[in-house]
Amino acid sequence: MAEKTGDDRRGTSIELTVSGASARVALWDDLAPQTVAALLESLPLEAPLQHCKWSGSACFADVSKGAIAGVSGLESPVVSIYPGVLAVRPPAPGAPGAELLIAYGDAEYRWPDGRRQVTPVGELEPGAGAVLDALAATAAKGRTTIRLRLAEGR
Amino acid sequence: MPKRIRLTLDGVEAVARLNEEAAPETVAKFWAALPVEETLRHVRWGGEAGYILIRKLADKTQPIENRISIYPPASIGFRPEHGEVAFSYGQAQARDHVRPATWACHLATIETNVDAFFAKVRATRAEGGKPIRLAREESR
Repeated sequence: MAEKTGDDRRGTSIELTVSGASARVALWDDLAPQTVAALLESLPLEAPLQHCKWSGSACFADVSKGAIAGVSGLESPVVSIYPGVLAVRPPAPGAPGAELLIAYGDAEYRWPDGRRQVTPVGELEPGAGAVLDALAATAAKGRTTIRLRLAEGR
Repeated sequence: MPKRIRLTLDGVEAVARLNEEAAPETVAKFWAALPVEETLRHVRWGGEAGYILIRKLADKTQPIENRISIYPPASIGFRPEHGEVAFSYGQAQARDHVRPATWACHLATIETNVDAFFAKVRATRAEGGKPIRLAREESR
């Protein structure tokens, strides 16, 4: 099969699973082509997922392996992470590897010394309420696991 | 003699001294509200701390006494607008979704069994909420 080009990847979906709840994520190839390509190259991906402690209603996973862990720089950088949005913090000084973030409510990417930026890479498709609930539940129940893989019929 | 409270978090006990001289009104209201049984959860905006909400102490008009923004290690902070009591085990600050930094009252400092108590607070992040009881030390 021929390798996909950037245009072919527009509209690519992946499947995200948290605590047994699954939903599709529509990737924003146009906003973040390099980061989305690195994420796709890193699939399937499984990592411990914890609630953020500085950034509000969002969860994060440290990713130290695969192409996404070596992605270089930000694309279409943002600070606010809207509910259902998947974002990536590329490797940074003092923070090797990448961080995968997903928000279920009000969230703003922050470190102890203030706001930072992330690359938004996609958004949960409609009907993802169970995933949002599973993300929110980590505040009360603690750590869980996030799994990402290519969606069937993407 | 300074007022003290006994904290029991998921079976681990510690004693904290209330900062009554620096925060007399806050300590008086807090003392009157004891005992309190709640679930301690990890903060979402403020860093390395756990928190409970004591709804009956929520008062947006109450002045913040003995103000801090960065929580000192082993401190107990109180934010009257929410009735939030925060227990910091590391780098932590009074923050929320609107304000990257705000104020809290330095209500108390934990004096005994500090490491074991804050290990339990830290564990709420990975393990989830844990039961906590706050009571007047004189009542034992």
